[in-house]
Amino acid sequence: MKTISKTRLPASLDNLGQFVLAVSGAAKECGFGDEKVNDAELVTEEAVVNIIKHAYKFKQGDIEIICETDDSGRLIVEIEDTGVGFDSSSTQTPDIDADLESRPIGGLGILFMKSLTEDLNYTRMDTKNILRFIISVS
Amino acid sequence: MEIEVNKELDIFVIRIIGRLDAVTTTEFDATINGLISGGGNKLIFDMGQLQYVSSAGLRSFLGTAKSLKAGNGLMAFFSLQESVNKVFQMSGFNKIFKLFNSKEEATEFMNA
Repeated sequence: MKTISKTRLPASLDNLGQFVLAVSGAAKECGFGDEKVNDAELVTEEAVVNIIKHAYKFKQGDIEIICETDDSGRLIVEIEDTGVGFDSSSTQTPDIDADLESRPIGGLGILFMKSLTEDLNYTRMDTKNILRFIISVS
Repeated sequence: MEIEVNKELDIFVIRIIGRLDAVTTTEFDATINGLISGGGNKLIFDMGQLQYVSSAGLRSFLGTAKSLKAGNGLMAFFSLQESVNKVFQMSGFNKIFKLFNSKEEATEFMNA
């Protein structure tokens, strides 16, 4: 396992671009093509926005993103925060066959996170939330 | 993100350039809400230069559709890039929205 980057910044939408850039940079370092880089960016945005909106709803804090790669060239991303515990990986995904009228606004971020990653999992360790996911090149 | 709006008869053609994410949707929503509150009820989105959309962007599209529906309006999209099309497919938005290959096809749908 090799660490590619560690990025720690205040949890704010102002820093969304930098969080996304950290993961897309790591994805490129893993040799990912445009489509997989886009997947990595999308999953990162959804995860970071969830943390800002839910975990840090009533307090401020940092988000740290650690990007690693393994011998198979997979991208392993850990996103950590110290906000309120929130397991986005267990949230229900919306009905994607619902029509416009009954379609709820929301829930799609979780769907993308689940659809585009392998081993999406959440751990609460002491005061820390750790969301971990893997994206493979193929 | 940049938004270019052109009015062609009673249709607004809206070109979205760049990335529609949790940050840029604020500007997008303000522009679109301004068009709808000004009486615009036929919107065509030119997606040819939109490289990235997240759930925040989709939420904006859904909100736009619901606002338009309330006033019997219509919306359509054309020229979706591969990355954006993938997100539309994953979310089922390809089934609730009208997607076309060209502006001409989208305009034809609006005028039908």
